[in-house]
Amino acid sequence: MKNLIIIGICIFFYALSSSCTKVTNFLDKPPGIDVTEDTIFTTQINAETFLMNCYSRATYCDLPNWDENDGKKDVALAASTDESISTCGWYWDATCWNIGDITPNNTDLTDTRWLARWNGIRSCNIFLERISSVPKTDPGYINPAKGQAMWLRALSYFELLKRYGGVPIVKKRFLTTDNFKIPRSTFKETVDFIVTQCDSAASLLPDIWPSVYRGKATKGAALMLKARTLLYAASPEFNTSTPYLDLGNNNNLICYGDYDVNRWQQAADAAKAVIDWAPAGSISLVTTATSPKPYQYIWETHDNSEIILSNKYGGSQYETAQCIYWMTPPSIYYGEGGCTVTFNWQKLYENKTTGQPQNWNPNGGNNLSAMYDQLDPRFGQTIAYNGSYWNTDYTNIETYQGGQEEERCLGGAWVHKFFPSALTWTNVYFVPNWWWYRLAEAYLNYAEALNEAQGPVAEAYAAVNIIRQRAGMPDFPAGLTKEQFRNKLRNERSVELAFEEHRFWDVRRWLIADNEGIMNGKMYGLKITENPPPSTEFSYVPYVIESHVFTKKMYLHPFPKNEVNKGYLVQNPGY
Amino acid sequence: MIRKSVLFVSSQICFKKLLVMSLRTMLLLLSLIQFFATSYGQNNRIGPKSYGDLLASVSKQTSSSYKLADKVVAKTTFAYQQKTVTGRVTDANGNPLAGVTIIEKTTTNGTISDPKGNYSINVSSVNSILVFTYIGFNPQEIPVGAQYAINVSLAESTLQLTEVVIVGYGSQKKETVTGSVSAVTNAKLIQSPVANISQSLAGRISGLLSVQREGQPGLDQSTIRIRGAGTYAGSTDPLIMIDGIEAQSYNNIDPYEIESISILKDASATAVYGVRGANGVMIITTKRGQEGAPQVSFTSNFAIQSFASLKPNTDSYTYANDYNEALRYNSYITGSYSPRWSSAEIQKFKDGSDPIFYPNTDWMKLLLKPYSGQLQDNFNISGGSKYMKYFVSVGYFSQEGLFKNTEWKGMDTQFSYHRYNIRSNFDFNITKRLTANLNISSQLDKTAGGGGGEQTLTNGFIMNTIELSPPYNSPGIINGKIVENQNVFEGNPYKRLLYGYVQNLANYLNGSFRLNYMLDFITKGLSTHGTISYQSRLGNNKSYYFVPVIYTPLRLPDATIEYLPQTEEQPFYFGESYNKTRKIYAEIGFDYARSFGDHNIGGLLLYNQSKNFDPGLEYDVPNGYQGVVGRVTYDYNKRYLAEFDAGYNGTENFAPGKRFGFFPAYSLGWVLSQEPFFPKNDIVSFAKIRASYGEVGNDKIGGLRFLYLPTSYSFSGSYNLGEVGSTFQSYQASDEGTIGNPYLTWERAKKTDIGLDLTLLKGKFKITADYFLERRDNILSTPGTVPDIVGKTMPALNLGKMKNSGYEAEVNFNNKFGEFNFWVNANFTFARNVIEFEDEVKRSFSYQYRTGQTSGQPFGLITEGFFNTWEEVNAANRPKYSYQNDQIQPGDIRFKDVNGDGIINADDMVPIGYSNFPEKSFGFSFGGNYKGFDFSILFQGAMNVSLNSSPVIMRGFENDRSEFYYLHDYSWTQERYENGSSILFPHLTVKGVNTGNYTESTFMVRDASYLRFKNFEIGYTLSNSLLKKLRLSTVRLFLNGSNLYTWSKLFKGEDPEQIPGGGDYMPYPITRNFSLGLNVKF
Repeated sequence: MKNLIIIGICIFFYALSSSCTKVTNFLDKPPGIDVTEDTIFTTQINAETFLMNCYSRATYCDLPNWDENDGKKDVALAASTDESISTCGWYWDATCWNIGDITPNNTDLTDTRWLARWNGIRSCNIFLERISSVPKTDPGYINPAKGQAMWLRALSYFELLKRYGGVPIVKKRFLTTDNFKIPRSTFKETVDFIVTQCDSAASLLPDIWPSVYRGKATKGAALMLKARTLLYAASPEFNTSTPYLDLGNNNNLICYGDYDVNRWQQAADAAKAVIDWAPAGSISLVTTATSPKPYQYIWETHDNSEIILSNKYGGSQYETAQCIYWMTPPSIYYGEGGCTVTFNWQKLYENKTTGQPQNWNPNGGNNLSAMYDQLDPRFGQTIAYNGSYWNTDYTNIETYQGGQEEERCLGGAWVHKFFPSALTWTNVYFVPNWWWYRLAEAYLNYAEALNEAQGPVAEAYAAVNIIRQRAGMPDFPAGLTKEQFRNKLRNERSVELAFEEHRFWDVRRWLIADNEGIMNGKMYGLKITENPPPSTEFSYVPYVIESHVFTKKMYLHPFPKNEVNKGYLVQNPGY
Repeated sequence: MIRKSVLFVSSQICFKKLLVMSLRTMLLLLSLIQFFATSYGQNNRIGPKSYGDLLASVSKQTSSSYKLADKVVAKTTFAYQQKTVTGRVTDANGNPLAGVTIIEKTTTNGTISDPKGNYSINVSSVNSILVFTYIGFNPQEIPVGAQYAINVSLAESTLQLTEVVIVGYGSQKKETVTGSVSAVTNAKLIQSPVANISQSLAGRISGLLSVQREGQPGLDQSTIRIRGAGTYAGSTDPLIMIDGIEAQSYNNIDPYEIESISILKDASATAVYGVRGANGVMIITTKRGQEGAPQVSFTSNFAIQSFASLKPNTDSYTYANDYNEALRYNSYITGSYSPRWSSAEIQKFKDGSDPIFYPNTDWMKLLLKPYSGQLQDNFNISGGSKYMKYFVSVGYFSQEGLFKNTEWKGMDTQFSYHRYNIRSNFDFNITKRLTANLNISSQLDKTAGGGGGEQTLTNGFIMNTIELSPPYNSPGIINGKIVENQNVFEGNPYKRLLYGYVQNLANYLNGSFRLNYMLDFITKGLSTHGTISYQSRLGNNKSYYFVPVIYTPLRLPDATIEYLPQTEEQPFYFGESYNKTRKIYAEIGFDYARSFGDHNIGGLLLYNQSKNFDPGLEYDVPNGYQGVVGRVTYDYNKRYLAEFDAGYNGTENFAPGKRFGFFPAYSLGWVLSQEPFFPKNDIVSFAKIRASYGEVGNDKIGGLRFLYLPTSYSFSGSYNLGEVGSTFQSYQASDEGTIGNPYLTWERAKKTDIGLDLTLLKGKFKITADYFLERRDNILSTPGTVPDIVGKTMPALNLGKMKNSGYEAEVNFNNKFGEFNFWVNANFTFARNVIEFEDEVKRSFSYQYRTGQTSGQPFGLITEGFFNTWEEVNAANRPKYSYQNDQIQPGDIRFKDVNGDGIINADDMVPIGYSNFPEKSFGFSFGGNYKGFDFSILFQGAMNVSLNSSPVIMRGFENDRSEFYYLHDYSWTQERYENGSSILFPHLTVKGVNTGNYTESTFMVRDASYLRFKNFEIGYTLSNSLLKKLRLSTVRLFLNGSNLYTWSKLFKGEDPEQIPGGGDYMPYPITRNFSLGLNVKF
C-alpha cells in the first residue's frame, strides 16, 4: 500500500511538472491567423478588399440609416432646410439646425461623420502608399485603383470643405512618431488640393466599369467632383474678400479673400467637361422617350442612364429597416417619421403652363386640387400631396383633416421621392436608389456658372432649358437680366434637385440661408379641409408650422470644441 | 399548446438531463471515495468499515461514547492505570458543543464530543490533564485528579487569539497578521434571503463598496469594489479566489456552502497575487468537514418578493393635458402652438367613453405582479474520522420574475432563475505525513426570460417599455390581438413582453485536488504541496421568438371596430448556441513554519500557472498566467512582527521581455499589549499597530488583448457594387485594426496601509481601523490630445496616474445581560480617488480639467432656481444662453455664469456632485439571542454618490414616452409659482427644443446618498427536550426580509443604486423579499 501511495505521489508530481514543461514559452501567443498590413498588400484580391474598406469609410448614404461607421443618422438633411420638416420631434439633429442651436459642443449632432471622414482619408492614404508595391497584379489594375482612392480622398475633403472651409490637408498616413498637429490649410489650398486630386483621378479612371463594378468611381465622377467643388468655390460664400463673419487674419481659411469672376468661368468649364464626357461614359438624360414620367423614373430606377455615379453605401434593406421605417409617414408601411413638405417649398413649383410662379392665395382658397394640377409635373413626381397616388398599397393620399395620411402631416404633403412604387407590402426588399452625381446637375452647374461668368448667354439658356424640357416645363423666357436669370435658375435648381441634399448647401453658398422663409423665419404648412359635397375639391389655409432660426455663424459648421482645445485648429467665426 | 410542450418540455428535459448527469458524476465520485476510504480503513484496522458503518454508528451511539471514539482510543491507550472520564461539553449558555477535541495532554490520546456534547475518554493516570479545544472558543485545560465526570463549559473566544485569518495561499493567526484583511462568516451571509452572496456582503465588511444595479432574476448580483476604484481605465473588479483557485463567477455559489469570506485589501495581503492583485482580492472559503459524527443540516426557506419601488406614470387625461401644455411652452421657441389633443379628445380620456381609441392604460398594473415566489433549499452532511473528513452539500434556488400575463402562443416569457448546487469537500489523512484535499463542486443554473433575437436578457427592454409606454396609445390586448392606435416609439409593451423567450443554461463543474506532504525529515516545519484544478463551464443558450403582429383599430361606418394587421405574420425563429470554457490550474509549493524559542518564522515559496480556454476570448486564444510567489514572516514573541511578500508573475498580455513583473510588499507590526511594560488591564487587552507598503499590478487593462503585437488587420465589413436587380452584390472589405504598442505594460499600484487593532473591555469591544493610500501609475489610456485628423485611435499608452486614499473602521461589540446575548457591528469605509494625470486637452478654464478630479466626476452647470417672471427673463443683466438660441421664458432653469463672461455655455460647467459609485459606505448591524430566540438587523447606506439622470427621467414625453408622476406634481407653472407650491422641475416640454434645461447641471445630477433598512431576521430555536423524540438535534424557524425601506432624496420609485439608461434601458427594480424558513439539524 505504501508503495502505491508513493507511486501515486510520483505520478501526481510528474503530471504537475509535465504541465509546466513549457515554462519558458507558456505565455507566448500560439500561432494563429494574424492578418497584417503585409498580408493585405501582397495580393491583388486582398488589396481590393482594402479598397472596399476605403469606399465603406469615405462614402456615406444620406438616407436615414444606422451608419456602421459612426452610429445613427436619423433623418434626411432635407428636414434641416425649408424643403421639409421631420415629424418626429426626437429626430434631433434636424431640430438643432432649425432652432439655431448649433454649438461646438453638439457637433455629434451636426456632423456625425467628422471622425469617420478622417478615418476614410487615412484608409485612402494607406492604400495609395501601398498599392503600387502589390506584386503580380493584373495589367491595368493599379492605375484605376489609385484613381478610386484619390477620388474617395478628394470626396472626403470636399465634404469637409463645404462644412468647415479650409481644413488640414493630410496626404500621408500618420505614424506614431509624426507631429499630428497640422494646422488648417487656407480655403484656396484646400480647393486646389481637391481639384488636383480630381484631375489625377480623372486621368487614371475608366469611363465605364463593367456591370459588376457599377458604383466604382469613373472618370465622370472625378470630373463631376471637380465641377461641384469649383462651383462651390466660385459662389458668394467663398469667392469674396469679406466673409460672412470676420475671422481677422484667418479670413483666408473661410474664403478666398478676394472676388475673381474667373472662378465662375473655371466652374463653368469644369461642368462643361462633364457634359462633353457624358457620351463616353454612356451617360445621358432620361427623357420622355424612356418613360412618361422621366423625372420619377430617375429616382425609381436603379442605375439608369442619367446617373453618373450611384451610391451603393446603403446596401439592401427590408421594409422594417430604418431607412423606410424612419422616413415613411406614420400611416404608410407602419412608418415612424416622414418628412412633411412645407408650403414654402411647395410654392417653388411653377405653373406648368406659364412657367411662372403659381398664383397661390396667401390667405387660402377652396381649389387646392386645381392649384396642384397646374404645377410643374415634377411636383407630382416628387411629393405625395392630397389626392395623389403613392403605389398600389396606398392609391389615394389623404392629407386633409381627418384623412388617412393626415396624422402629423403639418405641411399638408409628404415627401414621396426615393420611395419607389415597387416597394409594397408584398415586396419588401429594398435597395436605396441614391447617387453621388447625375447628369442634370452638370447642366445646372454649367448654366449657373456661365451666367455668373458671362451673363445669360445662349449656352446658359440651352443648358437649363434641356432640363426644363425634359421635365415638361416651358423654356426660360428670353431676355432675362443676369440677376433674373440667377434667381430663376436657383428656383429651377431647387426643384430639379429637391431632396437630393443640395438645398442645405446651396442656400449657404448663395448666402441666402438667413433670408426669411429659407432657413430663417416662418415655415408654413397647409391646413386642408374637404369642401362640403357635392364638391370634390379641397380648401387650403396656409398657417405657420414653426419658426426657424438661422444665424450668420451657421454658414459654416463649428469644429468640435474638444478638437479646438487640442490646439491645432482655428475655430470658425461665431462659435 | 403543442408548441409549448415541444419547446418547453424539451428544454426542461435537457436541463434535467444535465442535472442527472451531474448528480451521477457526483455519486460516482462519492462511491469511489467511499471505496478508497473503506479499503484504507480496513488496511489499518481502525476506523469505520464503511460509510454505512459510520452513519450507522450515529444512531447506535450510547450516551457515554460512540464507536469511532472507542476505536481511536483502543489503539492508543495502555493497559494499566486506566481510568474512564466522561462528561458533557457546553457553551456558556449551556448548549451542547459537538466536535470538541478532548486530548490527554502530552499524549496522542484523544476523542471528540458527540452531538449532545457528551464525551468519554480513558486517561492513563490521575495526573493527566485534559485539553478541550474548539474553534472559536478558548481552550481549557482541566487536571483529571480524582474526578470521573468532568463537565466543561467553554467560553467563546473573545480575544480570538486562536482565530485564523485566511490570506493568500494560506492562513495566518489573526494576532500576528500584518496585512489588512477583513472577513465575514457564513452566519451573516445567510441572513439575507437573496440569490447571491454579492448582495449579502453589502454593509457587512469594512473596505468593501458595492452597488446593485439590477434586480432581474439571475442577473441581480452587485458590483463590488475593494477600497473603491484605483484606476480610471483598467478593470476595477477584485480578484476572486475560491478555495485557492481563481474563479470567474462566484455569484452562483450556494451561500450555505460558504464558511467565510475574506477581503484582502493592502499590498501586504495582495502582493502574492502580483499582477492580478491591485484591485484587492476576495477569498471565499467553503465549508469542510469536522471530525465527528455526521451532522445533517437541512434548510428550506420560501420568500415572497415584490418590487421595492416603482415610479407611477400619469394617466391619459393628465398626460394629454400636460403634453398640450408642454407644446404651449415649446411654442415660445418653435413659433406656433397647435395642441396635439383637442378638448373633445381629452374629455374622452377623462370619461373613458372610447376605451379603444382613447384608452387609459396603466401598464404597470396590467403587466407587473404584486408578488412572486422564491425558494431556497439546502441539505448538507458533514463529519469525519481522524482519517477522512467530508462536507457534502446539495442546494436548490429558484426565483420567479414579476411580470404578469406572460403566456402567449405556447410560450411563457416570465423571467426566472433556477440553480442547483452540489459540493463535496474531502480531506484525507493518508499517512502521518501525507494528506490530501479533494473539492468537487457543480453549479447548474438556468436564467430565463423574455427576449429573443438581438434582444437579450440583459438589455432591460421589457422594463423599459413597461415604464415608458404612454397610457394613451393602446388598450393592450383585444381579442387576442396586440393593438396600437399609432406607431409611437415604445408602443404596446406586450409586443416586447411577448416577443420571445431566451433561456441560458450553464453547467459549471469544478474540481481540485491537493496533496500535502510534510518534509519534517528534512527540517522541522517544512512541507510541500501540489494542486491541480480543472474548471469547466458548459453553456447552452436558446432563444425562440417571433415578431408579434400589431393591429390598428379602424372604426367602420356602422360603428363596429375592425383591427387591421400592420405587419405580416412572421415565421417563428429559433436559435441555439453552445459554448464551453475550461481552465486548468496547477500549483506546487513549499511551506515552512517553525519556532525557535521566541522567534517564529514562516515561509512560502510557490509556483503556479493557469490557462483559460474560452471561445469568447479575443482571437480564440487561451489566456495564460504564470508566476512565483514568496512570503517570509517573522515574529518575536508575537510582539514584533515583520512580513515580506512577493509575487513574480507574468501574463501573455505583454510583449516577450516585458511579461514578468516583480511585486514586493513589506509590512511590520507591533503588538503593544505584548510588551512587558504594557500594564495588564481589563480596558485594553490587545493592541496592535501595523503598517505595510508594496506594489501590486493590474493586467486587466483596456479590455483588449495582445495590444503589444503589430497593427493587425481584419477582414471585416463590406461594400456593395453592381447593378441592382442583376449584378448587385456585397464585396468583402478589410480594415486596419488597433495600432500596436510594443511597450505595453501593467498598471502598477503602490499601496500604503497603516492599521490599528484594539480589543477593549475584556474582549467586548473590538476595533479595527485602517488608513490607506494607493498611487497607481501606468494606467493604460488613450492620449486625449491626439487630433482626430490622425484618423485612427493611436495606441493606448501606460500614461495615466491616479491616487486612491481613504480610511475604514470596524467596531464590534458584544455583551450579555443574563441570558440575553447581543452583538453590534458598525463599519465605515471611505475611499476617494483622484486622477493625477491623464493626457488631457487644454481647457479654457482651470475648473474644467478632469485631471485632479475623481474618476467619473460629472461636470455641469450650477442651477440657481428658475426664471419666474418675464421681468427676470428680460432683465438687462441676464446672461445670454447659448442654449436654444437664448430663447428663455419663465419656468426655465436659471444657471450660474461661472466665468462671468455674460454667456451661459459649456464653459460654465464645473465639477458637480459625485460619480455614480459611492465614496462612502457604511453598515450598522446588531443582533442577539435570548433563550431560543435570536434576531438581527442590518442598516446599510452610502454617501458621496450621485445619480446622473437622463431627460427620459427628468423631462418625460421623450419620444412620446410616458410622463412620470413627479413631473406633473412638481413642474413649474405660473400658478404653482404664484401659490408658492414646491417646484422641482422646469416647465414641461416635449421635443428637443428646450436644450438648456436638460443639459448637464445640478438639476440633472442629484444626490443619491441613501440609508437602507437592508435586512432583518428573527429566529427561534426549539429546545432539545421537545425534539428528542423526533431524534432531531435542533430545529430553527426563521423569518427574514431584505430591502425593507430606503431613505434617500430621490423621488418615490427611484432607487439610489439603479441607473436608468437614456431611454433604451430601464433596470429591473430591486426586489423586497420576505422569507420564512426552517433549519433542521440531526
